[in-house]
Amino acid sequence: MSEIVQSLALGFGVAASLSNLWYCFLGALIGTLIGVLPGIGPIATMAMLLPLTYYLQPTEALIMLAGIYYGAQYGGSTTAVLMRLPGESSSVVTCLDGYAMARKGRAGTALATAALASFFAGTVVTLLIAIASPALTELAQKFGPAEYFSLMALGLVAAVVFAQGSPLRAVGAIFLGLLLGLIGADVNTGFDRFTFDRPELRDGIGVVVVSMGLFGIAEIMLNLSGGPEGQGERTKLSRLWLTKEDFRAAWPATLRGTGLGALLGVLPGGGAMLGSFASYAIEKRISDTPERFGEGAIEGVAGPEAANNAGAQSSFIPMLALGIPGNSVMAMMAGAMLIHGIAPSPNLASTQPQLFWGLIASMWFGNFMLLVINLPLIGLWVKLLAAPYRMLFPAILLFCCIGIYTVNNSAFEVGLVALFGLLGVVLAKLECPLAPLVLAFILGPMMEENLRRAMLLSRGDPSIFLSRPISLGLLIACALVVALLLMPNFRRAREAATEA
Amino acid sequence: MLKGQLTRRMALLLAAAGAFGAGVVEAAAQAYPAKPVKIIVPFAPGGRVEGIARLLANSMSIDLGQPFVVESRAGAGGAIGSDFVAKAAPDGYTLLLASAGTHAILPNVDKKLPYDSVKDFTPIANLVEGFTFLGAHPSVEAKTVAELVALAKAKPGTIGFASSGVGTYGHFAGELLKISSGADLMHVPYRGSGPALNDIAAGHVPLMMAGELVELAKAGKVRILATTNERRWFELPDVPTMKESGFPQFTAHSWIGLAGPAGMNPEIVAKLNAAAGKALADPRAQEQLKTLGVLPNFSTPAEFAARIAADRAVYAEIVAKANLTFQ
Repeated sequence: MSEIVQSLALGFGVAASLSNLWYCFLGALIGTLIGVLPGIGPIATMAMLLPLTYYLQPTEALIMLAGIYYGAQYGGSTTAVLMRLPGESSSVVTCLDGYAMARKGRAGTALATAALASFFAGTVVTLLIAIASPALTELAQKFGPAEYFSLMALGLVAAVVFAQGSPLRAVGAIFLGLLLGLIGADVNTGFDRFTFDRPELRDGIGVVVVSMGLFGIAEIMLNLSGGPEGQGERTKLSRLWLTKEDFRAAWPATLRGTGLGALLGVLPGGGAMLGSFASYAIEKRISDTPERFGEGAIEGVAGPEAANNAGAQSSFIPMLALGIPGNSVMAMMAGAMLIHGIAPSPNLASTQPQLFWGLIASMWFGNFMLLVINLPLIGLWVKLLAAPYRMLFPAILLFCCIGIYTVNNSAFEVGLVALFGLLGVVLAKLECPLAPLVLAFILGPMMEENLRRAMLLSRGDPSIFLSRPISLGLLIACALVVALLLMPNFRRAREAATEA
Repeated sequence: MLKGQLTRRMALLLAAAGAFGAGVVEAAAQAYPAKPVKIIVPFAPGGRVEGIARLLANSMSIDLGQPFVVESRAGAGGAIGSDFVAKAAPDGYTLLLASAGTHAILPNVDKKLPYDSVKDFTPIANLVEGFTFLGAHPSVEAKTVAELVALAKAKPGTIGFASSGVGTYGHFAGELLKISSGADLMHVPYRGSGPALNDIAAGHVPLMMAGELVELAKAGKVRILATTNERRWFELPDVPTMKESGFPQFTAHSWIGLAGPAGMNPEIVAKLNAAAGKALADPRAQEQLKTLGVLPNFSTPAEFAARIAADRAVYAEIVAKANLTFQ
């Protein structure tokens, strides 16, 4: 224990140096700004700034890049709440209740909730990384292809929970999401599926492309079509802060979201993204009034926001503990280390203690700075909503196009976003829920990949899913969720039968 | 004859235009580079290839007096970025970091590849040789390649090797090991090297052939049995090469070089080749290359062209012998 205290003291010493604090602030600020600009995600920004880090000290460079990443998680929720534009794939969930709150004039409250929940999660997970990195790494390493498959299966079943209204439509949305996820080269054979000979489609469609189109662009089109939910309905907000009741509803959700996000974030791949979906599903499930979800439930903002920030930070664990980048953001961090002649390795903590602990400690400073940057900005963001929509939407569209284009320098993807915008309008008219679609789109490819990999490694023996305890546990949870989902329907059917 | 006169006049005109054109081209070659030069990296930012591109770009910007800008155009295993350069104007302002993957392997894997890696490019210089290792999870009861082959022969088709995807260097190296040893190994493809490395470190899959294994091996998470290159890796002096382990078939390595669209002016090519050589000769650059897991392997444009053609043939032979089918 004393060793950890010593290491943390070393880290805080490094992180609190004037230059490191400055780069931490710079990273957090840039992260917030690009998070707020729709479309320009942390990956594109980090890629653009990577060459500049060449001229910095390695610790400064990593602290700044890390700040951009978790800063973008903060900023991304701002556009999700205000304009239903998920700046990041993990803020898709925030679109649901955050935007609903904004429509009811509670945008300020939603943003404050997001900032506070994120700060809480960030603080807790910073400590967790310092104390429990080895243990969490060991846990993550227990997840082989079979465990991943079962986890994804659980996620997919839980996707139905996101349904608002007809479960049939939710199932339809899930299947559409799965189909969209099939696009691209098959991992096991390299054969193309549904790519129409377009090389741009061989790696599949990006999550940001799908969610920005379905949520953000579709919302703009719906607003402009001037339907009953047109722009006139935006109510003036009364307050920026949370009431006592808000706090009471939000804090348990934040606590659960932090735990879930931290655990799922450790898993390489889509872990960090799943946290916010999982947190929303659980909050809705355990709530006494699940019907409030989608209508502006504060738990539906606090939980997922805590989870996505916790996940963003715990996704550093495989990178720091093993030197293996778990997602493209971490690959960028690894790239920054390589530029400075530091090989990402499992021995990083012993070979580069200053960098390792300095980076961890800087996360706490970064989260604190984000809170300081973001809370005063809330008033400004909310004022933005008062701007006439005819002036707002061209700017939003422009930023979306620039953002999408910069990710891969590809005009094709800009066209795809427009296409998904149209699809989003159609689905909205059909009252199809979008969150299950996006979740299935994310989970589907991972689920298929791991199913086939597990079957390959077990030489075609499906009992591998039941003989491994973690996998078995997840599948049992899966069955329980299905049972829980069916129960109210049974009850309703029975009640209907007795009444008749 | 009017017709004859006309044609003669036209011929004269054409000749003059030709001479003028040649003069312009020559002047362009001397003034090159007169504006910023783009170096396309056909992979996602943050990787090994991008690191090398940055190193090269920094040095060439200083050397040639114009900014060399690195731009990432990722997708389809490098085919999108490579195709972008193949179709660009051969004026020397759009260059590509070509790799064994995009120029020797993909042409054998992707039948719909929109470019020809030999005809559509001007090779400028090979830059570096990438080092790749055969690594096993420590639980695998084999300390040498021979022991591994014996183990695999005793349990045919049960020992899996991970790769970062179908048609990648790691996949082909595994197939080559299968053909040359006669052992039946099972290919387990992943989406990128990150998840594959994770699974070999955790022991979910026993084998992998990749460059990123050195740090994991230093920490005892992976045991390296051999390097596939023809020389040993300086950090692992006790690890033999595949050749020393009895497999001389491993002749094609991963490499990264600089190329442009077909039809580039030879003077510009020579200028770029010299600048690339200078970049690699810098001692600080050489240290950085070592961290990236590569060593300088500078060549002339002609040598680079020969390497592309030779390695393409090696991979074609592996495809034929291992009976691999691709779309």
